Amino acid sequence: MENYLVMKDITKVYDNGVIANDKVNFSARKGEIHAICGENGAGKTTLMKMLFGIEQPDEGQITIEGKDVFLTSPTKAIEAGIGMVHQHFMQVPSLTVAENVILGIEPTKGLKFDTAKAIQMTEEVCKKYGFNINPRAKVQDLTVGVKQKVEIVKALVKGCKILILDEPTAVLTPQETAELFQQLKSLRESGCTIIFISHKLNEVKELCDRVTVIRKGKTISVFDTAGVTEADISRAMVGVDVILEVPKTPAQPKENILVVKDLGVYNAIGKKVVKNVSFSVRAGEIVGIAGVEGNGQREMIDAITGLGKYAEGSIQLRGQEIGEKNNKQLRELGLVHVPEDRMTLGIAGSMTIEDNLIADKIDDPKYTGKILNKPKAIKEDAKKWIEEYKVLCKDENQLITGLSGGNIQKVVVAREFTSYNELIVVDQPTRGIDVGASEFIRERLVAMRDEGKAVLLISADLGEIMNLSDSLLVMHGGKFAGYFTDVKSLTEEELGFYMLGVKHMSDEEIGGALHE
Amino acid sequence: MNKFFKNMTVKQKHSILRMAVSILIGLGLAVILIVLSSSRPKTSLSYFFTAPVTNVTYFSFWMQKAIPLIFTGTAVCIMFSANQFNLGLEGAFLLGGMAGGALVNIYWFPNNHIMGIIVGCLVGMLVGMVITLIPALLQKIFNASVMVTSLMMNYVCLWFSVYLLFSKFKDPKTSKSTYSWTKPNQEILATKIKINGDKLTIYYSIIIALAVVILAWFFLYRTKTGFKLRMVGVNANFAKYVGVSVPMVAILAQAIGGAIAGLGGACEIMSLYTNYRWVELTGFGWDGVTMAIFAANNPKNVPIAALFISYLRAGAYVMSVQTGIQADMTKVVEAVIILFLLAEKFLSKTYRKMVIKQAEFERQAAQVEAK
Repeated sequence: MENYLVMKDITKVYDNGVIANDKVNFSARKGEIHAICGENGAGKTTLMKMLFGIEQPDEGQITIEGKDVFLTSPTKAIEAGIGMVHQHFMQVPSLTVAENVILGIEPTKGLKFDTAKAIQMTEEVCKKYGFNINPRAKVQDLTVGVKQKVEIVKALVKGCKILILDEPTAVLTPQETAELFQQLKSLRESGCTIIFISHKLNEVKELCDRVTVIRKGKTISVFDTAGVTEADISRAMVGVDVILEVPKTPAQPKENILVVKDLGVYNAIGKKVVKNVSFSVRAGEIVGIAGVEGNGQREMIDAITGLGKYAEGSIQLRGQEIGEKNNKQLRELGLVHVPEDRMTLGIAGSMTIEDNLIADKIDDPKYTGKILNKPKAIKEDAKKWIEEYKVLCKDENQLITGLSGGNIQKVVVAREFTSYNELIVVDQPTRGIDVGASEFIRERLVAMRDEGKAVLLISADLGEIMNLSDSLLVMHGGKFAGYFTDVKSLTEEELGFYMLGVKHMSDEEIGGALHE
Repeated sequence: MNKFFKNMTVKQKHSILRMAVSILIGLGLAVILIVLSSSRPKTSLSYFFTAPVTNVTYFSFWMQKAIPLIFTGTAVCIMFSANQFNLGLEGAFLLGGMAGGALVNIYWFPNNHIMGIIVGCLVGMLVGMVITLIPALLQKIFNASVMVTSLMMNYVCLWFSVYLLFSKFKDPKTSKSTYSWTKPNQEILATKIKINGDKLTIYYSIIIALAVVILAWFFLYRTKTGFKLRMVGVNANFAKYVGVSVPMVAILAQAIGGAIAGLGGACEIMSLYTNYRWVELTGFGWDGVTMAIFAANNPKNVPIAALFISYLRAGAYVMSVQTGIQADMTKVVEAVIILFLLAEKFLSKTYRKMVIKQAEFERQAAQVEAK
């Protein structure tokens, strides 16, 4: 069958040097539901942003129906028949459904906005594709599931032939999901091409005709979903790249540093995303947390690092409940954190490397007197750390945004590891950075463990997490699905089954993660 | 000079270039406006461009115009460094001037000169601080947009001060309808010297203004609180993550800004006038924003920016007195310069060229080194 949409050799390099897409190839036929699978950070969102004209590719060509198109803005993309349903809905809550739907193509009567026509247009599309929505209702009164339908109708009313859905089921209940799938299937019947981004493989298997797997900015494979199992897709998705094993001796864990008991966390829309988990991290061990993104890891780490709140259970850092403590108090207790999103949380962009290295230590009497700072002492240590952590830069006065991703991460790691620490939380420490820097950071982590620090490692890189972790927890659906103390003998395939919820350990086995 | 440029990043070089081009465009526009509207363009232009440096009276005038800009410019630098868009400096300057500059000296120290000045400065700072703190706290407690409340605060301050002036301390005997009772101190803060028949006035408040600039710079770039303040300005999430109490720092920045503006107002009233007489907003609060943009939020650049703008204003004023061209023309020039400075894409192609050239240069340098 002819390909309706072809994206050929698409390359996108972001300003900080991260290669988000590296000669990605993607194609979709008319009237099919095509899934794009890949870990977060694999580059699927970037690819879709380019298809919807939000970003422009540095290289490569997009073709629709054999014609080259240049999508320099979302307006152009809409004209080319592309619609996108974002993860976060783009709607005006105080307007009605009809008003939201026709936003951008407003029908007018003379100079006036034609409300009747707007409602009629909305109703037409709803009827044609079988959506049950009241065009006169205000968007703010709708449930999430209906809001999503509005989003789809919004794309359809502009005559879209290609509909992109970015993780549409993340916010839906199972019933709403079933309804959505029904509607997507009927859209397929009418000749619409649907691109479905998800990492819920059971949904992909149920709904989609084909699936393209992207890993680390590259197209890995294209399957017909009928011919493959979830396990096959997951293997392609999380497949282990060859990494140089960091040598390490068996851990010698000592006393508990972090104790999490019965932790329950709700997200912004009130959905329970961490469902009463318990575990502990002891001094001198690395505890790894694996899992497909979006299974509660984010919220759990936010709670532990004091960036988010938790409603149930307790988190104790060296015997003290962290609930009411601010970040400064947590740092004084010995918590350091290498955050997942280094650009927005890990660094102060328009400040120098030196400023970034000293940011959390400025109250230390070593660097500041009664009134004035001690620039000499600051400079001396900044220089020392730059050398120690092999940060490639002109000098310590260079702006941090001028560095490559790997070197920025080295600065973040240097700052956190040189602060007073007992518990080190590292979240995706090597995502999107070069091999050399990754190697270096991994070695450092093991060295910190050998010094007797407690390390909590979250990573989507299975090779990394299996190499570094002394014990490994797998998260699925807000709970732990597995707990492994003998990580060396674990296979990726086995791990994948737990990550995707195919296998599940008993509560007793998982209870072993909490050391008393 | 070459060495000076060598140590700069491309970005810094480009921002200097952009500043220079913006100023040239602004001045070019000034020349065109003057030539078009003047009957004696040559004389007008020479007044506009040279008056402040060719006559001591005009020179004094230049300095007098620069001082309040230095105060409010520094104040805005501190608030903007913390990314706090509190625009209440108009009110802070005005009420600081009335309370510290006039009321203290009229009622508390009608005869005691030095104490009047010192207490006047302190009261001015305190009042200015309160004025900017009100919107800051409203933001903290009720989440009310600080930009909106601080803007409205200015008018509350204005009409409150007008009410006080007319109901409480206006001098009923003077023919000038808005003058207050006479206050002491003006002559010790401004010494007049006659040189060849022209009057040179030395305003001592410039010493206070420059001291404020130096202290503000040390505060921002050499103290831990200043460092935290800048961190909050660059990335508040990051600041929170490394353990800074973001709301406290934000409030502190606004308090300091208000205090400096209040001090500026007090100095202005004390050194310029023998009576309090403001019945409209002075405009120096807005000018502070202009100064901070010119100075890229760094206090050490504020005096240069203030001297530049006040030079234009002094020149334009003299020109208007001598040749009858509207002095407001400088407002247009200032606006055009700011417009080009803030237009992010202005000269962006040149920037890319500079980046590419620099990269090429560095690659060649690396090759030479490798050999």
